[in-house]
This record gives sequence, C-alpha cells and structure tokens, in this order.
Amino acid sequence: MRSTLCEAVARCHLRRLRGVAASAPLPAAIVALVVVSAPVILFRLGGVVGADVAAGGGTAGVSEALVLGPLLAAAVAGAALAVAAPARSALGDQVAAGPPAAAVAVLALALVPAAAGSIVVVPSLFAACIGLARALPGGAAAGVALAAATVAAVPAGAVVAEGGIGAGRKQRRRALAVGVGVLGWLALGLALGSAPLGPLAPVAAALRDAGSPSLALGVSSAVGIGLAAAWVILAATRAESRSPRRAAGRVGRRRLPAPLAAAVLLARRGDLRLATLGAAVFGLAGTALAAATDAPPPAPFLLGTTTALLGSLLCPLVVGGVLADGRWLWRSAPVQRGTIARSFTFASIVAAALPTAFVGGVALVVSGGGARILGVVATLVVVGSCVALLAGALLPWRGAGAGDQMTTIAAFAAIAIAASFVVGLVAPRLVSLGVPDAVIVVALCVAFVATALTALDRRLGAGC
Amino acid sequence: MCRPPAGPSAPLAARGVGKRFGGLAALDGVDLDVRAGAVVGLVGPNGSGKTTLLHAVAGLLSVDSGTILIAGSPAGSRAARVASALVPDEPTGLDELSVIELVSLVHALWGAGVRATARAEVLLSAFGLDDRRGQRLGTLSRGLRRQASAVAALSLAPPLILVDEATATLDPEAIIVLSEAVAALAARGCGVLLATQDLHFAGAACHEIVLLHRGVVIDRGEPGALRGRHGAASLEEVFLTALGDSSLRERVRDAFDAL
Repeated sequence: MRSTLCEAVARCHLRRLRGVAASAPLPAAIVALVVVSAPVILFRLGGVVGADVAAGGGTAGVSEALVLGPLLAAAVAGAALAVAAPARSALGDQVAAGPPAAAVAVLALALVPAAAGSIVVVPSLFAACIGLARALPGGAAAGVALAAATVAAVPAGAVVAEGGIGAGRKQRRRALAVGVGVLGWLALGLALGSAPLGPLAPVAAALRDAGSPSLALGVSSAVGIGLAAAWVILAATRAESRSPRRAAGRVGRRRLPAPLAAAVLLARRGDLRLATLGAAVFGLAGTALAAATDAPPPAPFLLGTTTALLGSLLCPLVVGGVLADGRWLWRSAPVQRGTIARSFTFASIVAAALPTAFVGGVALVVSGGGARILGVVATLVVVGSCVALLAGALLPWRGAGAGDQMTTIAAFAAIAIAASFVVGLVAPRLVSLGVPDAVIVVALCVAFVATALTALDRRLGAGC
Repeated sequence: MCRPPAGPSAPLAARGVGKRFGGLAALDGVDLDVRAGAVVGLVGPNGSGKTTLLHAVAGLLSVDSGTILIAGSPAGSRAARVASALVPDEPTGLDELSVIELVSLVHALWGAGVRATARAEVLLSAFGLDDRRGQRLGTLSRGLRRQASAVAALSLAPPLILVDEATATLDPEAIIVLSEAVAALAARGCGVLLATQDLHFAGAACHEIVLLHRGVVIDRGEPGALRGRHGAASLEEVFLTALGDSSLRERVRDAFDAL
C-alpha cells in the first residue's frame, strides 16, 4: 500500500475529526447540521442586508464598503493562517528529513487541509454574497464575484504576513518584495477607481452594475490563484526561525503562579506575537480605510476592532494544544480542579482583548463611538475567545501534530457559525420577553465562559 | 584521527561544521566521516550537539559554516535526502497513521522498491510489531513508536542511516534487535551514524566512537583504542576522563550532603 504525503496528512485530519465526532456525537451532529443549513440561512440573511443597503447600492462608496469589509476580514484570516501554518518539522523528524520538496510539504501541511476546511466556510460565504447582491443593481452574478474576491483576499493576507515573517527573520528582500507588491496593489486599485481594493476594484463596479460581473469574477479568480501560488513559494522558502534569547534564571524564592505561567507560555510563542501584531496593524488599517471613506461612526470603530479581534483569536485557539502538550504537568499538579483551565482562559481572553482595545482606543479618538458599541465589542471579545477556546479544546492545536492548526481553525469556523445561530435564535426571544439587554449579554458571556472552562477541563482529563 | 579522510562519495563527509543558536555554539568546527560499512557512534553529555549534528546531516537544520556531503551531495538537497534516513528521538507528527501506513508512506516518499517491503516485513517481525501493524502511532508507547520509525528507516537501507538517541526508551529485546539490524545493514555497505548515551551499547555496536563536548570533537577512535589511550577499563571512564570530570561521583556525593 502506498500513500503520498498529502494523502497521509489528509487521512490524519479525517481520523481526528472522526475521533472527535465519535467521542461527542451530539455536539458534532449539531455543528454538522448548522454547517449544512448555514448556506440557506445566510442566503436569506444576505438578502435582508442587501435590501437594507439597496437604496445606496448604486453609489461607489457603498459598493466599495460592501467589498472592503469582507476583504479585510478574509485578509486577516489569511494572515492568521500563514502565521499558523505548520513548518516542515510538523511532519515529524523522520518524514521531514525525506526527499519531498519544500513546496510539497507546504501543500500537504497547509494548503490541502485549508482547502478541506474551507468546505465549512465557502458555501456559506457564496450563499451570503449571492443573497446580498441579488438585492443590488449588479445581481447574483456580482455576488459570485464578491465571494470569489473574498476568497482571493485570504492568500493576499497570507502574502502580507510572509512579508512580516521575512522582516522578522532578516529576509529583507522578501519583505521588500512584499512591500512593493502592496504598493503595486494600491496603485492598480487607484487606476481602477478604488485604491484599497487593488485589482479587485472591478467587483465593486459589478455590484453597482457599472462593470461586468464575469470580468470581476475572472479577475478575482486569477488574483486568488496567483496569490496562492505566491504564498506557497514564499512559505516554502522561509528562513528558519531565529533562536530565542537565552534567559538566565535560577531557582529562587519567587514562584510562578498558574495564571502567570499561562501568560508567559502564550507570550513566548512567536506565532502568537506575530498574530497579535498583525491583528493590530490590520485593525488600524480597517479603521483608517473606513475613516477615509467618511463612513459615519461607529463604522470605523467596528471595522477596526472586529478585524483586530479576528486576528487575535489565535491566542485562545492554541490553548487546548498548550494544555494537551503539558498535560503531564497540569494533571499531576496538586491544585484545585479547574485552576489550570481558569488560568489559561483568563490569560488568553486578556491576550485577545489587548490588540482589540488598542485599535478600539485609536478608533474612538479618530471617529468616536458610544458606550453601547463598547459593550458590543467587549461581548464579542469574550464570546469569540470562548468559541476559540472550545474549538481548541475539541481539536487541540498540538505542538507535534501535522497540520493540526488547520483542523482547529476549521473547527473554530464551524463552532462560530453554530454559536452565532444559537445566539441569533435565543437572544431576540429573550428581548421580546422583556429581559434587559445587559442581563442577556452577561448571561451570554457567563454561558460561553462556563462552556469553554468545562471543555478545557475535560481536555485535561479532570472533568472526565 | 585513526584513518585518512573519507572520499567525497562516502556516506558522510563533514568538514568544519559550525552552528550557533543565538550566542551558543552548538557545533564548532566538527569534522566527521562515515564510511560505507562503518557504524559511528556520537557520544557526549546532554546538550553537547549530537542531535544538532544529526539534524544538520539530515537536512533539518542549516549550518552556519562548513560542508556536509552525503554520498557526494550537499546535506538538505534532494539527492542527499534520498541517500539517508533518520530514526528520530521523538517520533511524532503523524499520530493518526498506523504502523504499516507510516512504513508505506516512508517507502513512497523515498521511492523504495520491493526489496524495502521485504526488509520491512523482516524488521516488523524482528521487533515484534507484527500484531501492531494496524495500530495507530498515537496510541503506541514512545518506545514502540521508535521501533516503528526504525522499521521504516532501516528497511530503506540507504547509503547513510542516522539514529538519534539509539537506545532511548527501547526495551532490552528491542535494543538487541536494533543492534543486530544496524550490524547487518553495515555489513551490506550502509554507513550508520548513531547518537547515544548508552556507552555499553556504543562500545558493542560501533566501529568508531566520536566524543562531542560543547559542540567540539574532543576525542575519537575505536572503542578499544579509546580505552587504551585513556588507560580506562570502561567507556564510562573514558567519557569522564575526556570531559575532565573523573571525580564527578565523589564531587556530587559531597554536594548531596545538603539534600
């Protein structure tokens, strides 16, 4: 029996998913049901949003904003995927030392699992975009182009992240090349009528029926394929990560309490530091772009903070794997049950909140915003972090697992869709029953935190 | 030290290899040859650079200085990777594959022929893994996983076999099987470079021992010659003498009075 590297890694992913489904069949069935039904619901939701903006859909500003929002989110997701992409060593030293080319290892470890994981998100994305565009002058065909452009923005974000990684690893030429590419993107966009959208500007034109949807789809597909190929080449030729500085230390009277140890473990990971930095940069870019288009408050604040949050959720996402890798210590430590899970939950939520708070602060200064919107974003931070913790607990992002990252991210996407549906169903009913908003929000946060803590505790084996 | 340098097409010819991690020199001007049919043991304290050297030879790490040629090809090149196989210390990565699937995958990646399949059958049987061929790697103990990765690597019989921490986590039976397998492959012309802390195993299995300390080769030679040169009865004594720590036992005993 023979198997190629891609097949072998895909088989590992499928078996992991099957194992999770077998150990928790009911939640797995619910998530699967939600993922399957999501395209239908999102198609209708897209239609509702489309009807809301249809009045202004013919203007350049609105159509550009409709493209820019998803593009920015997709670029952040792409950057997070690139930062999280496993190195060749994730194949294990034996296979990593084998003859396959570096690009084959990247394909096997990142692109194939990412493509498989996209089954969760892509149908919903297309459904939402088509539903939205049907209500706009461009029609459904322009919606397909919008979805394709959003998919194309994923490798665009990954390429930008490679530039950052290159700069961090002293590959200055690569960082410079990516920088030149970004300038080229903006220049091309300027020539086509919208600098931030770059070569994808025809999509905005198609949405307002000022351009051909077929052309927009063709351009989006070509840009996506080209950028994906560029990313594979860049990822395959990354320099080795630099050695961490050696910290001199000795056993002393100071102790390292569990919450501090959790914070130290997360803060010392290069991928998390880069993701946090990237989240802040993309968040600031979102704020700046929204402010530049004269979008009214709280649009710049919301675009900036949600973009930053999306990137910084990598921190809670890895917690399940950190716990799984250090299980020998966490399980044997004579501490009260739940202490370790609580410590990591607290540390990771704070870590996810920091870049969001930074970007939010800047956005408030630039464009203003009210207390209500601050509460919404704070809730998103807590709930989003807990969904990430839950996904990481179910499918841990192990230090030595081949391509674990991609299955964990796919699980996050699936649970996030499922969670948003549950909240979307329950919250309006509670409001109609007269329950105050603040009570609903607090109950929501408590429920999500409790779920995440239970899942992490089970991961450690303490709750089994 | 005991033989002239190996030719460029020898299984392994390394010259002046240097590697730094930050301010730490993990390898510093290491010269090392492994001839066809030779078993060379890398011995040294923890952190002496054994695994770094093996990983550099396997193409898992780039070096800062020096050259490493595997069967005439630079380490890390496709030709060098085809000409070598590694049994790692930590056999992790593809936990969800079964033992036989790991072997099949390695054979497919290396483009191995039917003789490798036959060798794998012999090795699986010798290591006692016949009943576990369908078992997932993630469910095996570390020792059994190492045996599975040893089957995968040794069955390729490439010009150069690399074994990291050769006897770590292996039971006595598996150590005997590994030792005999290495000897048989060396007899058919493979070069073997193994890192180990097991000095008894090194003395019995290796034709030449290279002693590394802080990234530098401080001594090398045949086991008997090393013992003679240091006037030592065992390789443990050679080890401690070469490190300048022959009074280690007494020193720590004194220090442990504080315990």
